Amino acid sequence: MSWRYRFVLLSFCIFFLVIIIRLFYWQSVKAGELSALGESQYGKDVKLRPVRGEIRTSDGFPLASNKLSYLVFANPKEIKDKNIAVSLLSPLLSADPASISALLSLNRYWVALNRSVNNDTKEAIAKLNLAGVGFDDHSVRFYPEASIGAKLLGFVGKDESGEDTGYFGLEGYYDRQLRGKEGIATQIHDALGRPILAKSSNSSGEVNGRNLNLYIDRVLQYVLEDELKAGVEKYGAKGGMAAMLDPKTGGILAMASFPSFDPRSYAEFANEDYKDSFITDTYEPGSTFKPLVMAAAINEGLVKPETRCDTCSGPVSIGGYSIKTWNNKYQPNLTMTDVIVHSDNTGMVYVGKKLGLDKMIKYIDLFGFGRATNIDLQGEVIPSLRPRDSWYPIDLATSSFGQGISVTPIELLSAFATLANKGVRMEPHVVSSVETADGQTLTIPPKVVNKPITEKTAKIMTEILVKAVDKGEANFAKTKGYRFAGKTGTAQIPVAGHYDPTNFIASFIGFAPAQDPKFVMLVIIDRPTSSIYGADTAAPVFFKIVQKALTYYNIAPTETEIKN
Amino acid sequence: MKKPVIFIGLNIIIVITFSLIQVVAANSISTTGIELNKIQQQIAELKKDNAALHEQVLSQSSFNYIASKAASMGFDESVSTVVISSPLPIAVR
Repeated sequence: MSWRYRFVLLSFCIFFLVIIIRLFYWQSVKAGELSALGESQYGKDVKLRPVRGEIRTSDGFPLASNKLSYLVFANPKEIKDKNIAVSLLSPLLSADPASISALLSLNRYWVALNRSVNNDTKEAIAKLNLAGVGFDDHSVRFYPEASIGAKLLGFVGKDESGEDTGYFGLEGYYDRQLRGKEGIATQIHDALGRPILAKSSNSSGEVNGRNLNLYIDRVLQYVLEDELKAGVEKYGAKGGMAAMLDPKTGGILAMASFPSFDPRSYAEFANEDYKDSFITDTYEPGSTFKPLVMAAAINEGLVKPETRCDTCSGPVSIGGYSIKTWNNKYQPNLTMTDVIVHSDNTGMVYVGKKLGLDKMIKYIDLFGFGRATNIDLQGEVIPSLRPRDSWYPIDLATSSFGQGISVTPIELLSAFATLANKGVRMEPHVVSSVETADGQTLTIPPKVVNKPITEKTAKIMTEILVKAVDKGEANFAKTKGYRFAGKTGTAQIPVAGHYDPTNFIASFIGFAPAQDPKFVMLVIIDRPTSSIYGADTAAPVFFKIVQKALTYYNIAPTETEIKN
Repeated sequence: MKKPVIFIGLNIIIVITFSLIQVVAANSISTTGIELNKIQQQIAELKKDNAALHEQVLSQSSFNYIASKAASMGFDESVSTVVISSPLPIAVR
């Protein structure tokens, strides 16, 4: 073989080797980069925003759902006659012409004219055929029942990175479950931007938010809010709150507090209005606390309903303080039943003494005071209790009738529900189940917390509380024909080391029907002006709600009025 | 000399055949992009319509709407309830 052939062969070999090396470089070393470059030319990545989960009442109706909203934007450089655009757009966007004009005068390619308009407005603007005006659709929260359950729901706002985030109530507590997971879709398109059916077109990772199914009954929620609002207005109160709980499951059937806010326009309200007072406000429960102290003493076998108080003939002096009854009237030898019926403070001091400090603290703890109830709402406050060595005899005495001890309404309701549930305390819960994006339902089972009192004690206390309703000051408001167990409360408000002499918190707590309770309810009227007493303000609101609730539950009266 | 001519001719026929097949196939799927675009637009429109209808259904089945509609139609809230039940035995009374 001549050297020429060898030279040509070698040249070819080198040439092919260079090609192979170059191909290896493009196909292996630079493969990822080129692939991405290619995809960017023929494919388009689109962020798939998950749909936020719905919050549904027990009948499956969403209190919080989603709807399409439109962002209206404009390219000021494309708009030829700005004056005409301003005159056409400002009435449709309900905006000041000067502000629209200012936006269209900016030296930018994109300005947002309105971030949230409905479909009708969008269609009306689209019909104008204005060059340089466009729309971008997105999902926003929609509240079919308007502001009903606003404080329970909370609201959806933006976090520091501009993403939708739930705040307060259920939106805050279950934000991670509700928000879902963002995904990415890749669509391959041709040179003209039209989509092509291709293997690499796909979407991945997107998971819609989970739906929450609540214990909340829409009818009861509507009735409770309606009557509570009317009560707050009628009694000239600063505010009011109420909640209804199923004692057997701990499920919250209805809950509301006023003043409230509208989640559709939450930004227009003060921060204070967002808080759900039922779980965040602490107060001294007053006489509504007495049944729990009495239950503790009966449970310990220290008193019986017929036990007579031998220190109730006049004011009781303890540590330099004189403890009087609410009406300054005294009845010697009161039975324990009468102590609750007449809400006698001196009688409760007698019970407190019988119980003693250690057992008082033990039962306060067993009933869950000073601990989180673990209700599934954002912002629950846990009032701290006085340490054991800071209790003085006067503290034991005042605590026995519900003063000098701070509780949240949810703590009191949860504890009181124990009397209606054979002595078993359930954890209060708003959500009964969670529905995943693929339709799977994850049930949250009712949770037993503890059993502070026996079933027998619970029955005895129920009978005492039935008498408290039948013979007590709130009897005039009672719905006839039914057996209710309940207690009024008129609590003083501590202000800078003393009690406010003019303002009071009126309340009523009870359950019905007493023989087989369907619900336990606490109604609190904050600083009523027409009357300070729970029997005159909170009790009528309680019974108005109860009357409608019993009709709704189809519960027939069990007692016949007998006239002799 | 004949064999290479047949071989080259056969190759040309095969190339032409495959070219024709590709032209036919490309032609038949050339409009799928447009179709796909239309279908996607249709899906988007249907989703929007569905969302709007869902919103309308929820709004009109809300208690607020029903209560205001009932009031405008002259319905009033019932003030008393009639209960039909067996009378209690005298012994229980």
